[in-house]
Amino acid sequence: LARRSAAAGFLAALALIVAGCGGGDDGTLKVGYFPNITHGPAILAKEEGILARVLEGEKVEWVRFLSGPEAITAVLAGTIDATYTGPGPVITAASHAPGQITVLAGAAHAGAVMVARPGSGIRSVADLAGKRVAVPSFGNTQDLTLRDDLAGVGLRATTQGGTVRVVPVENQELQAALENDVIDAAVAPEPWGSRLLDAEAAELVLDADQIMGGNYPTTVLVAGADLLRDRPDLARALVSANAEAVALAAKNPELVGQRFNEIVVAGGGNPLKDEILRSAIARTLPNTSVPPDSIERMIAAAEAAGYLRNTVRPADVLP
Amino acid sequence: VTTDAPPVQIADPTSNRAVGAARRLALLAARRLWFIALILGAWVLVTQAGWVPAFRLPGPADVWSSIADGFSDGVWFDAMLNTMRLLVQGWAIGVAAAVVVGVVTGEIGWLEDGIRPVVAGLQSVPTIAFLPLAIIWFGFGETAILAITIFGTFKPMLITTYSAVHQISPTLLQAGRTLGARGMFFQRTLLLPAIVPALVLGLKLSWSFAWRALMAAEIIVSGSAGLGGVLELGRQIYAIDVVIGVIVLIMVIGIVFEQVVFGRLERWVNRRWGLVGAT
Repeated sequence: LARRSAAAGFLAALALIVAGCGGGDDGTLKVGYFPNITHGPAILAKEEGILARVLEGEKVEWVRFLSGPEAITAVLAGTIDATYTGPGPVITAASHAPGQITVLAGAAHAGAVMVARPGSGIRSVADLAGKRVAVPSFGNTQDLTLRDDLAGVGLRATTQGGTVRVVPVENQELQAALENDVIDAAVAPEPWGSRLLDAEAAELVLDADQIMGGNYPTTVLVAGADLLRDRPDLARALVSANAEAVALAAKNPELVGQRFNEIVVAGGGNPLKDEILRSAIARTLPNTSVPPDSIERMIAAAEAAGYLRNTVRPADVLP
Repeated sequence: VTTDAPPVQIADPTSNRAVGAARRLALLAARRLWFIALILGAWVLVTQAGWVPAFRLPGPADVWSSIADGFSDGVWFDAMLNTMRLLVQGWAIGVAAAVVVGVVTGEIGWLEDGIRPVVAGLQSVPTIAFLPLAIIWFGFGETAILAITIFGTFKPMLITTYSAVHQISPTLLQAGRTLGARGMFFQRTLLLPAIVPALVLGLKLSWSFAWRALMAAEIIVSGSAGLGGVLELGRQIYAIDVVIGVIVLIMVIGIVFEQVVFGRLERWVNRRWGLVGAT
């Protein structure tokens, strides 16, 4: 009898553990963002309480991510409802999980630079032939703009039969990778680009306005299919909070830097120097638009890289 | 005495040998494949019925076409070659180092007493936990992956070598020493041959540990040219069919090595060392 009750107790404990694993969906709106200057409007929507105010009492939880694929995977898995991310991961998601991710609005344009290791001899995109170039991850926005730049001078990545080796390196590893001669160049979103230049770990090859003419979205706000189906009111609230945050970021760029540094310090990091913040913010343009021609070029780059399974039309990635 | 006679066939109405052989083969295939068929059936059912959306679990046909695509443009084949090259290199170096260290120190009590607990303790630390160290020491690239594979191989192989050394019959050791075997001669002619059958187990074990260490390292050092790199690319662009395809491919390679390479090695060692009688 004792053995039987012990077994029953064990099963009951297991059942409790399993029940505890079922995520409690308490109606909180979960929104992802990156601690980057390119996510300035997201940072203001969070830190200035813009989204919380627009939601009028609905609960919101902000979730921090370091890369687009992670954030989009979290939306696809239903862990979060919406996220700020680059258009690159949205394009690959539109191909592999059609209809699951919807772009609500743009948040920022440009905001990335191409830099090279001092002494690498790289002065222009054409010099990248035979070199190793870092991007944050495969299929992300910087990866796609790099491939677009390469195509512009007749170069291709090694995986497309060319000579340029594209290597995914996380932003925080870039400086070590450049200093240890693991990579020759990088396309880095802000503030990482300005940090590398300030530390003299890299030299500028293309400034923010020289990549796709600076007229491309670097951050967009997207929502998962479940949110749009079940709570379209929350999606509308996200759009209006985003518009307000973008306007505030454009009007008051210093505030973006201030709030960004507060986030960094709260996370145990060192605040960025004013010069770095200023140049990072100057390279990033808050903007709710998503220029269709830039999306077309990114889709073409993703297609050529072999990232796409199902055809993606610009309309799939536009708000 | 070897005999070629087939086993006695009970209740076999046809005395035709070919039919009997075909039936045995079919039976063997059924025994080996029923579970795979069951999994495939459930997979088709779940995906066809639409219970799980395709972006979370693509169907077997999608996975098959991504494997076929990957091989048709040569990318997966190159990745497989790269992975196998690193695996064989890392495993061979790890095994050689472990056997040398194990044989040399296993015979000297105080050396083994010092080394063994440390290695046993390290065994409980997942090899991949050392990857950040390997990256800092050897750079963000292939050398770090190779170092992790060697280390992943070394630990289980050293423990197996120690056990093998201690399992040698004391009578054999005594006989060798009485006959005057000493030092390198003793190790080369008596110790090493005596531990070979026990080492085969270590070879299999360390091979699977090497695989795990290598795959984990390839996935983390993203942009690596091996199968782990292909898997990580699939993750980054949400191509779950690619992720599952690579997993299936790794399983197939594992089955081939387990059944063909190690199976043969084991049978050969067993025969050569007289561990199985003639049938």
